[in-house]
Amino acid sequence: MVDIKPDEISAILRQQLTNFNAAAELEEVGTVLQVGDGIARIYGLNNVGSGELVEFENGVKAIALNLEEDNVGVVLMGETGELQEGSKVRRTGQIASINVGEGMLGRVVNMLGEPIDGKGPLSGKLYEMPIERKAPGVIFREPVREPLQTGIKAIDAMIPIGRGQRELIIGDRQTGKTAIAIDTIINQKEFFKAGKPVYCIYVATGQKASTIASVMKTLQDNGAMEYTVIVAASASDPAPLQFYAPFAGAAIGEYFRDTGRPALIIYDDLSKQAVAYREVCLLLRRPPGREAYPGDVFYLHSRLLERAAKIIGDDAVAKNMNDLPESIRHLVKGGGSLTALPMIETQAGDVSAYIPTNVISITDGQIFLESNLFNSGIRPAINVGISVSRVGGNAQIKSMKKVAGTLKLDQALYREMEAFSKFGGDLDAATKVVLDKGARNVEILKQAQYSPYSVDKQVAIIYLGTQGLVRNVPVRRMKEFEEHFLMEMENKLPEVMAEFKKGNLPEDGLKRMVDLANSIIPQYK
Amino acid sequence: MPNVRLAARYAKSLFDLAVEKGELEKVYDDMKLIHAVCKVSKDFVTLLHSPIIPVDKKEKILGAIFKERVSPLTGQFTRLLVRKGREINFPEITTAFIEHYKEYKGIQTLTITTAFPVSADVKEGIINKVQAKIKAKELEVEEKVNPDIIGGFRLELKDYLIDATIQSILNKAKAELQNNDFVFRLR
Repeated sequence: MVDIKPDEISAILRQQLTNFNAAAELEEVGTVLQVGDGIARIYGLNNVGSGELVEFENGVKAIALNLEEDNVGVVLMGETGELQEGSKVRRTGQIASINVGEGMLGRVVNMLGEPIDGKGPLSGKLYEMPIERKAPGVIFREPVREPLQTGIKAIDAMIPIGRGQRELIIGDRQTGKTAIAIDTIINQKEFFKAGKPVYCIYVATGQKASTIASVMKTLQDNGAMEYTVIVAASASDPAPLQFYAPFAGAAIGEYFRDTGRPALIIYDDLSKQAVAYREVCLLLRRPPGREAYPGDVFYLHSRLLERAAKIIGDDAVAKNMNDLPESIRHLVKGGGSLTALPMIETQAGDVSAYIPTNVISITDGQIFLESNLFNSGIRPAINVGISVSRVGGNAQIKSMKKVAGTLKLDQALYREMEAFSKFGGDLDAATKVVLDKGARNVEILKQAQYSPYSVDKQVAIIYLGTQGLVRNVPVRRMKEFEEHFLMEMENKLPEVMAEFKKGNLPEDGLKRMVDLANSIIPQYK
Repeated sequence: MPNVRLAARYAKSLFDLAVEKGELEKVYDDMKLIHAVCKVSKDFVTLLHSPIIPVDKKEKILGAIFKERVSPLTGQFTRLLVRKGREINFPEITTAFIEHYKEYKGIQTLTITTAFPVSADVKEGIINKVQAKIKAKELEVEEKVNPDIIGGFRLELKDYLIDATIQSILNKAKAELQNNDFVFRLR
C-alpha cells in the first residue's frame, strides 16, 4: 500500500459514517425451521412476497420461492454454514436485483453483481435493475432489421443473425459451441473501435471455473474484455446462483438495451441452468414432470429469452416501456437491442430431448453443430442443412444477401450429389460443376478459431465461390488462395471493399475484383 | 423439522374439546406446565424422541409424571398422542396450543431482550408505548437477558422486531465499513 496521510483516512471514515444509519426500524422476521441443501424453510414471514429478497442474521441473502400454508421455502444465495434452526430471517421488502453500470465492462461478476475477479469494487454510477423483469410489450418492439455480425462466414452468409434476435447454438459437447460465441464477441471489436460498440455479456452457468478463466483470458488477449461483462456461476456455486445467473445477465443486457444501445448476451449454457433449476425445485418438493424437470421449466426459458428484443426507435414511446425500473427511467432511449445466443448441449445428438425441443421452439432459429463434421475437419462444424434463422434474412446487408442468396441451396445440392458420387462411375458435366463448386465452398466456409472475418471480406470471397470463379484452384490450396486474395484485395482495391461494407455491389468493382482474382489463380496449380 | 401443520391440528382438536367441556383454563395451565417441562428437561424430550422405549412404557412414564398434576382431559390427550405415535411432536403441540389460546383470548406476547435486567419503570415505559401503538386486549411480557447484545434492547411481537441493540448497530457499521471501494482507490 502506498503512503496514506492520516487525514485522508479520517476523511474516508467520516464519509462512510455519514451514510451510516444507526436508527432501529420495525422489521418483519421469521424463524428458520430447517436448513439444508441450499434451501431453508421459514416459519413466520407472513407478509413476504414471492420472489422477495430476505436476509439472514449472518448477512446471507435468500429469495422466497415457495409460499406455503405453514412455511416459506427460500433458496439461499450463499453458504449455509452458520445458519441453524431457530435463527431469525428478516424481510427486506425488495425483490432480487443487481446493480448495473458502465463500470461492469471488463469485469467478472457473480449473479449478485459482486465482482469476483479481485480487481476491487465496481467503479462509476450503478443502477438497480431487477433480476426478474417482464419482457417489453408488443408496442415497444420493432422487427429485427440490423445485422449482428458474428464474423463467421458460414453464419453471416447462410444463417444471419439480426440485432434483437434469439439464435440457439445447439450441439454435443466438444463441437465448438463456446468457440462460436467467443468469436462473435471478438468480432464486435471492430464496432467498438468504430465508436459504435455492441456490448457483450457472457453468462457462464454451471461451467468449470477453469473454462471461465480461459474464456476471460482469450477475450483479454484479443482485446475484447473492454466491452464485455462476464457473469460467472461455476459448477461449485450453489444451484440458485447457477439458475439465476442468466437472469442477472439479462438484467445487465437490459441496462444497455433500454439506454438505446445494442447488446449481445450469450447464455452458456441453458441445459445446465435447467439442471440447476430442477435441483432446486426438487428440493423445494415441487412436483417433477418429464425428465424430472418441474412443470414451469418451459416458462423459465421462455421468459428469459423473451427479454431479448429490438426496442422501437421512437424515444417518446420507449420511455413508456412496461416495467421500467425507476433507477434508469431518466436514461431511457429508443433503438436499443438485446440479441441472445443461448446454448444447449445435447447428448449424442439427441435434439428431441425435453430441454432442446423447448428452447428450439422458443428461439428464432438454431445453429446445429455436429461432432462428425467437427471430426472430419469442417470447423466451425455447422450443419447447414438443418440450421436456420427465421428472421435474420431481413437483417443481412444488401451485398451479402445478393452474394450469398444461392449458397445455402448450392450446398444442399452438393451434399446430395456428394453422397451419390461416392458410388463412383462417370459423372455428367453438370454434376461435376456442382461437386467442384461445393467442395470449394466448403473450404471457403472453414475458418480458424479467434479469426473473425469482416463483412467485406466475406462478401468478396463468397462471391468468388458462388460464381464458380475459383474452379481452377485445387481444393487443398483454397485456404492459401483465400488468404492471398483477401490480402491483395485490401491492398489494391480498398475502395471496392468499402463499397461492399456499405452494402453495395458496384458492377465495375466486381469486375476489377474478378480480374484481380484471375491474376492470382495461376499461381495455385 | 418441526411439523407445524400436524401440531396445529392436534392443538385445535384439544382446544375445541376443552372449550366444549368448559375446561379451557385448566387445560391451558396443563399445556403451559408440559411446555415448561419440555423446555427445562432435555431428558424428557429425549425420552419422547427415543424409538427404543416401547409405547406402553412411554405411556406409563407420562402417566406417572403428569397424573397428579394435570386434568383428566389432558391425561387422555397424552395417551392418545402416544398411541398415535405422535409423542415426538408433543413440544410443538403445546406451543401450538398456547398460541391458539392466546389468539382466542386476544393476548399478545411482547419479548424484551436486554443485556442486563432492567428496572421496572423502564419496562413500564416500553410496555406503555407498545400498548399505545398496537392496542392489544392483553399484553403479556416476556423478559430475556442476553449479555451478547452489549446494550440497548430488542422488542419482538409476533412476526415483528425492533432491533435497537448495540450488537446490531455494530454489525451494521461493520458491513458499512467493509463495503467500500476507498481502499482500492488508495492502493
